[in-house]
Amino acid sequence: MEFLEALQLGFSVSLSLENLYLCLIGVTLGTAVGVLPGLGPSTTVALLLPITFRMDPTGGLIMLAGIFYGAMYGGSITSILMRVPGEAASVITCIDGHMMAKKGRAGPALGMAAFGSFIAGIVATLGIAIVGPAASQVAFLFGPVEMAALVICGLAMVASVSPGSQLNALAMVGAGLLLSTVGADFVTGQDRFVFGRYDMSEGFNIALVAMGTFGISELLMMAERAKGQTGLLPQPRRLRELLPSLEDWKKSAFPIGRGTVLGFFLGLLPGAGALLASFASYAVEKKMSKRPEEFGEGAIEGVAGPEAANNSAAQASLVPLLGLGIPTNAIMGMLLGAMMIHGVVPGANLVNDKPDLFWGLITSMFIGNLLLVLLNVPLLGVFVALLRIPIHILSPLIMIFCVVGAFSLANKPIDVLLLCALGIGGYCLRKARYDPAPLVVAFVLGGILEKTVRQSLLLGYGSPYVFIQHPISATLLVIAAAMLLLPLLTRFMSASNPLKLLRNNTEVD
Amino acid sequence: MTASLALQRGTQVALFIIATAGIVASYRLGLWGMEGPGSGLFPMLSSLLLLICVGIRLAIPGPETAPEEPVNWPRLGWYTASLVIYTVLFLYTGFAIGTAVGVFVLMRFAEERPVLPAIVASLIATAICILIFDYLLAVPMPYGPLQFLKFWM
Repeated sequence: MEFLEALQLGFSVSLSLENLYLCLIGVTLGTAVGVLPGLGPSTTVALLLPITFRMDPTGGLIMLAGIFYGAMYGGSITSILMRVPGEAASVITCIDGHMMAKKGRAGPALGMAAFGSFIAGIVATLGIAIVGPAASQVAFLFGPVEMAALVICGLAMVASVSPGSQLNALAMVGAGLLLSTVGADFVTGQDRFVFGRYDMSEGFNIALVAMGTFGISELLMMAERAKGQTGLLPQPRRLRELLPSLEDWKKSAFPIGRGTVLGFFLGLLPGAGALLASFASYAVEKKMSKRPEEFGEGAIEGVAGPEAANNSAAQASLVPLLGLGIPTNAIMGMLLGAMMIHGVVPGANLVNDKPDLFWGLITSMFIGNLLLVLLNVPLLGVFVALLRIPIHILSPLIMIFCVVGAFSLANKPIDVLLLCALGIGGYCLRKARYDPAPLVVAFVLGGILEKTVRQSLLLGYGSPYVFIQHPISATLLVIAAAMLLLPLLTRFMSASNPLKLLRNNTEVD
Repeated sequence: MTASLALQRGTQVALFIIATAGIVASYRLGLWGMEGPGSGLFPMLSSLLLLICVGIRLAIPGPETAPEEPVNWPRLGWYTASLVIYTVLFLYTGFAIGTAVGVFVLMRFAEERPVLPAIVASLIATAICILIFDYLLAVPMPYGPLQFLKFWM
């Protein structure tokens, strides 16, 4: 089928009144639920999945896709306004997005997140439509050895871009990896660090770790200030002042472009593509910026690039799902489950067997992204008004939503206790100048890293040299080593007193 | 030593202890088995990374940084207490009682609001919670001794 004919067919399906309505409902519900602190896209999709059961397959999947990217944007809202990421990929948005909010620029941060996501979503959708089936083959280039190296590279990147000390960031990577091993070993089934509690065998939930180390710790950080001090500068009220300025657009245009391309290719890979993409985009922008010192202090490029990369990767992850039937992350796994419930079998034949569904779903993303912007940009004033809520009203709400959100993840009471412990622990870490972002990222990537490292060692008959025998993995490991060691080496080379330098280097990134 | 600095050093020592315990526990799990890498190999490597980084930080603390804003310890204490009370009550008396008491403690003692507004706020917060999570999202919330209310509602 010709590409234009296919698009025409897709738009005829997605622009039907019923599907347009379902897409609008999906985007609205996704944003409304995703904006609740702690409820990220995966939880939102899981909670709203039953609504689609009685619909026809195309309508149901269009609505689910709408819920998915609505929830993604909803997560960005809480990341920017409250420093509570709904999912791991929004963690990076917390850094500069929340700093912008503190400086009275919540509107431009939210606006750029919406526009960046919209542009990335449109470009990624075009990418899926044009190169989708061919691009899905990229996933086959990455075996366990390459995936392990990619994750190590991602962790090195996270440590190198984290604000503050690189040594502290590496410590948090170690802590996150250790935390990811809690629960039953996926190979032997042996319980690890569960202290005899069978309800901990599944380990920690990602949303729980993010809510505890970010949400609850932020609540305690607010509490330590004197009463009446919010730490926030006043926000403008008029919509025009809330939208990104021309200067903001100039700063953000290239980051959005780079983030979109980076996100598309990383999104095709199995695992945490969106997470790696958002951090990779942040690292690239920080390295390329003429003012890298502004990153971590409220740089709009630190919001625009990662948000574009995150959204682009999220949409690209549909390629392996639709083209190969491979879900690359938990949300795609849920969408696969929904497809199965509706009797749709994803794979290479889907585009030929059900072209109306395939192209209808792809083109509905155009519509969904447009609806998302049309819906959220006029509401910027309402979102920003959340920051004007007095702290004595806002703080109980954050506490309630985090605690109830923790319980709703798996209906396990132990999760509520763990949230409390992680929150207090997260506060202590922040007071000790340990940034929790590398911990959360390492926690998410830990499972993938352990699995792929063990598979790689088996492939190499126990020899770690297997990682340098594969060209892609060797290149990625060299990049990882360079990211960690080059800043240290250059400072050592130019120092007269290495010990004094080491002392300073542990404080400066 | 200020309280903030003590908290900072205490956190580092706690991380060091966690890393050391992780190494011991990982070793006991087994680093290598008949069928390849054992359950303890990856936790051992993670703990080692944590131990080395925190060890260096403890040995070389880094330069003194600018003094932070003063911490309102009583308010922070009440916030932490309300969180712990909410969590414990959530587990043992259900989410409705937990939410009401947790919010009341926070409003009355941490935010020093008068008793009546604090009670009203805690009841409204509980109602909002029931509406969103129980009715709209159909999350099976634990009601504890108030389970009968659920059937009545």
